[in-house]
Amino acid sequence: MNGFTHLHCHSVWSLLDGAIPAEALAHLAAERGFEAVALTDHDALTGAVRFSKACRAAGVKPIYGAELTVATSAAPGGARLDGGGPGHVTLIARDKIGYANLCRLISEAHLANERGSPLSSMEKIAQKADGLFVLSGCARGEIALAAAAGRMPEAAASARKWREAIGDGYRIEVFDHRGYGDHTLRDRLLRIAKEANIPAVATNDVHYAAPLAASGAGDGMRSDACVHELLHAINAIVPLSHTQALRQTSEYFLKGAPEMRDLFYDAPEAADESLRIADACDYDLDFDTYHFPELPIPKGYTPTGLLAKRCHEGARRRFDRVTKGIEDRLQHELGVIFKMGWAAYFLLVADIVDHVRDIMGIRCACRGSAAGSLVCYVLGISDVDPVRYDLLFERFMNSRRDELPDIDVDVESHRREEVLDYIGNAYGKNQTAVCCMVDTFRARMAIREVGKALGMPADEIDVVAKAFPHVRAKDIPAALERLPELSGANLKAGQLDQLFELCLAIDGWPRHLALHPSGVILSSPDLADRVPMESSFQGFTMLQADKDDAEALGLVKLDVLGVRMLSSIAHACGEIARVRSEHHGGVDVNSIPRDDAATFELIRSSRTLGCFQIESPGQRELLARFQPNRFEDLVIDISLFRPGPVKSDMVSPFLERRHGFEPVRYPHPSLAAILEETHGVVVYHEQVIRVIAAVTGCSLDDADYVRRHLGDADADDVGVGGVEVTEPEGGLAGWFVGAAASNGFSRKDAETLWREVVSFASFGFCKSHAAAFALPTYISAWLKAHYPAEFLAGVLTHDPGMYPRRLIVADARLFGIPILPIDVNASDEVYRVEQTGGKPGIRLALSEVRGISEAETGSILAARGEHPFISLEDLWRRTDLSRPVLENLIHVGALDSMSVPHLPSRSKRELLWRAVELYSEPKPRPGAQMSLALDEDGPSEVLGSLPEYTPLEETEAELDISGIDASRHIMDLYSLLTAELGCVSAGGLRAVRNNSQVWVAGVKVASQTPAIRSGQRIIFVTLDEVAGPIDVTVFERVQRRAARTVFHSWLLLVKGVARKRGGASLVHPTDPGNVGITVVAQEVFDLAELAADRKAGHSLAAAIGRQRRKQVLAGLPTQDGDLRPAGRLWHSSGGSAGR
Amino acid sequence: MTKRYDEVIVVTSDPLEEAAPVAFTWRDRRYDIDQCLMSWREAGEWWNRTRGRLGRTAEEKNGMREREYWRVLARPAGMLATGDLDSDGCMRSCGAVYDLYRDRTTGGWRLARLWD
Repeated sequence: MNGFTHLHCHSVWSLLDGAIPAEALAHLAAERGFEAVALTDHDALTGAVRFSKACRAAGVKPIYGAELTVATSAAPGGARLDGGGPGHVTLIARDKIGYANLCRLISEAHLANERGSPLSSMEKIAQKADGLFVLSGCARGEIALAAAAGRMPEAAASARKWREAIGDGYRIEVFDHRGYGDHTLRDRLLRIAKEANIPAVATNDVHYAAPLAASGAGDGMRSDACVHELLHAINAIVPLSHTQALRQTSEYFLKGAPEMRDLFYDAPEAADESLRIADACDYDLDFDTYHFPELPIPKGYTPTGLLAKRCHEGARRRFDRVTKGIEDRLQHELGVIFKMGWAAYFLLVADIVDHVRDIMGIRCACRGSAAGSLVCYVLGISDVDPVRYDLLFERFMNSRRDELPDIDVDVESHRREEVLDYIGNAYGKNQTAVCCMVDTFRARMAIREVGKALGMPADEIDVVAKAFPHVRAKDIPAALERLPELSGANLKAGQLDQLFELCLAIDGWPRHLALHPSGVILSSPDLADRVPMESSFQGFTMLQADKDDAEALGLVKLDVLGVRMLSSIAHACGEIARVRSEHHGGVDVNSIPRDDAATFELIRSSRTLGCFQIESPGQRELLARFQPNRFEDLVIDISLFRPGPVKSDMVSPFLERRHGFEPVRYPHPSLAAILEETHGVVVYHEQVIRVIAAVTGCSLDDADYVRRHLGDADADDVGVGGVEVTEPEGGLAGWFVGAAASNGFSRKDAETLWREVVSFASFGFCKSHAAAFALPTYISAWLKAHYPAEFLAGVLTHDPGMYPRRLIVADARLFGIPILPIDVNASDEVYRVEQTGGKPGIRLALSEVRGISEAETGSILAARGEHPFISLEDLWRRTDLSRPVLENLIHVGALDSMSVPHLPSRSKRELLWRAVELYSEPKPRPGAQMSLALDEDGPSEVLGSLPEYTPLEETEAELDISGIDASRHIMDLYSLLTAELGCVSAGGLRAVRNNSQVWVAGVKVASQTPAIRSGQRIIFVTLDEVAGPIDVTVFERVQRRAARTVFHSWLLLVKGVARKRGGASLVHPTDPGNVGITVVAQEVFDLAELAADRKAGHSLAAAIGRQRRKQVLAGLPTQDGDLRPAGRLWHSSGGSAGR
Repeated sequence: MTKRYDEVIVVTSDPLEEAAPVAFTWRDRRYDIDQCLMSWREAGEWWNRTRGRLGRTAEEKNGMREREYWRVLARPAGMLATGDLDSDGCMRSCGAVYDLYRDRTTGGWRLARLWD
């Protein structure tokens, strides 16, 4: 025989023990002339789908297997053996049964053991050995370990024991990696196989593509083998110089068949056996079947019958009168669902949503194209009426769709795990699981890990890593060149070559698997036969398949996404019910009118911080220009604020037409009805579908199919069903023009329309999705308009997301809401609304105190429940607070409101002093007689009277401990300096003449660097000033000097030019802020530094001069702000619209 | 008892068996190889390039270490082998065991160790 098949190959899915992607393995095998190749990752089949697709593309036969970690009899329970861990065996699936057994064995190894330490055993493998070849394993196999140590009788006994347990499928794996002693081991294993009469099979334990890099040798990293060693070091968390035990040869690569046969020149039967096994394997993944869950159906019903019944009942609930139009649409949708066999899926999703919303009381919202379905609406899955808002079912689902429709349900973020638990328990763990999400090496993490492995000094790694934003590793060299804020960091590109080269090599490779934030798989009970499962960090059953894998495998999915806004809304409703006596049961935000004047007034004023989808600086600017006044406008607004429309400048023509500055124009008069809602601008996917159908006369199903293939590179090859492609060279375009012509359009019109369709299709947005999103957007704005304190308390409790909490607090202040500081006698673990001086105020939460644990918060609340704390000593005695947390509480002012009659109140300094004394005293046992008298623990004598904090100290303490300047706006403390500089306030900016020079100052709250059409990089910064936000734009020419200050300082002073937007006249008169006005920066300074210099006696001019010199001297970074408060105080992003 | 060296040697290889040495010259003296006992490969520190640039040898300079070792039974040229085989199947010789290695990146040979 000739040739060879590699039956033992690791890929990057062996997570840190493989340096070749599964796809690359397939292509390399084909390139090196192999007919088949196996993928055998450690305890995983995570790479299987990618491998299968690549094998199909490369024309090589895939063989699926895994290297399983097993407890060995020599070391039961997986105890360490010969200095290594438990043993390894290589499993190869021969057929479908074998693959199912492989999946189940892998799942069992993971689920029955501690997370991250999968372990199987000979006994377990023996029970599921059907359809499997079991190879004795690499050098870490039980038999090889004994043989290498010279314990030949033991090795031979092990081999016989395994052979007996497994049966005919058992093989002795032989290999020679040319390391010291490898040849001897090879001979010994061959001898054992011969003596025990077990076939031997040759392998090479492949971990990477090639031994030595063909290019760049000596010029950077050495080779694939080096990358493999690097991964080992990262895995072991030690520098490479400490990995002596791992030092191997560079022979673990995909050797060619002749090389492999050379290695076994004296044992050709072992090489032949690899071919025989490969021949016997006959299984590939099934990408063509959908797998639906089983669910209990009441007697006498079929899933289709039940679904139809529920839909008709639902329609009568949703609509006052079920018109013929509604009835027809329902029948049409049900027809498609039945035809595609999806009835059970819809029933299941409806069941889940009903239970989660009605029984568990968790807010839900449907998102995505599913909102376009009347079935989803009448079943209660979605709350947007697709008839009223003219949403298209075909965008969601139609008979021509070649991808799985999926329903996305948003739930309250902090209760998402409850929902997952419920689904798992209610529908069976055997048919439900969550997809995994692959965490890959990204720039910052890669730099840290590779730097550590290379033994770079920790501080040096830190500088390099911190300098990088979250870009992919392959973008590092470009980032180093391009980003001005890195130029000051003193990084010498040359020295870091090797670091970057290695980061580049592992770029995008998986680091570990995490739970997908939404993808719940609802599949059939044999799910475990098709995909292995492991435990996620949170303890959920997680598939070794990501979203794309699951889709390829025909696994039906329900996306359950945690959305903070839903939690915020729920919190706000809870607070309304709690504190407003006029609402006994709270308000039902689901039934509020959708045309509330106050809500739209708030939206038009763009004071929408905290509102869903419309709070970003860009969105607020758009709102001010757009001036929405009905729900449909919100749907358009959400669709317009996307990278596509913004980039292609669809926004301006739309607004010009909306406000009547430009006449409305239609691509063709016959399309007026379709495009009227958006003034002739194509905004929605649904419009593209309707235009295609109207022009060509095809069905909506076909039109959606055409729309989805418009962007394809091979669009020319796409035929459209039912319609002949009349001009072969024209492909889709030819079909479109031809069909349009036979539908009565002139050829010229048809060609123009085709161009329009193609250009708009890529920017359009799914209207159903936008409409679904507009609902929580509207509800949040309604709450902010009517119950701002309750609403913002909800936003603050559930992490505002886009902005730091202190900005939400500043916003609340602008709404006239009193801010009540953290107080051990009043604060809860969440933000509460409290009546103060006759109006609702927001009481800051205890959880904001740095370092406080849930247990500590709990102990405060429990003790306070008995009676309020009367003194520091009382608090100390009755709670279990650690010293740093108690000190933080004092520091932030949480004890300030306590006072004891007849005793002078103590300053924070005195309390801190006393706290030190308390922690050196033994604590009285709980339950001991507690004295309320304070004579025994009054202030100690050494303590004179220490002064209270100054306002600056107080605010600094608040920012340090909670990140929130509760007593006053931080900028209040700089009012003298900003007055001296002549800074314009946020309120004053509107009065400033266009293009005049101004100074502004504020706290940086957000910076965005979106992609801009011209290719120029622009930084948008939002500064928060006492009177509101100020938007600053930093163009490229200023960035060289200013970028470092912009990115690294917190309090900014900007000299610039006030620019008013063309549409500034549209800004609503009640706008207190400056939407439509931006300050184009000329210079940016660090305000805190300036203040310090002023304090030190420098003149204003001298202080500014100092900063200018610093910025000009390249490589001399400006100091970070003097105030470095705890936590995340500003937001920065690449400019995505966020969720 | 072994002695460690790291000295340049000149090796004559068997043209039939790729790279397998048949004789070498060390300190101006030629040694004939009677038997290759074993061969293995080693890969070494490649990551410390700062040191590499200041290194003496080629492999230190280019930051790579890829060695192919040969453990051989050899005797100074001119001294006769006895031709007897011992119980392990090794040829009895008046020579000694030498570890030689070839730098796979440059092709140069060095003597690493002498077992006597």
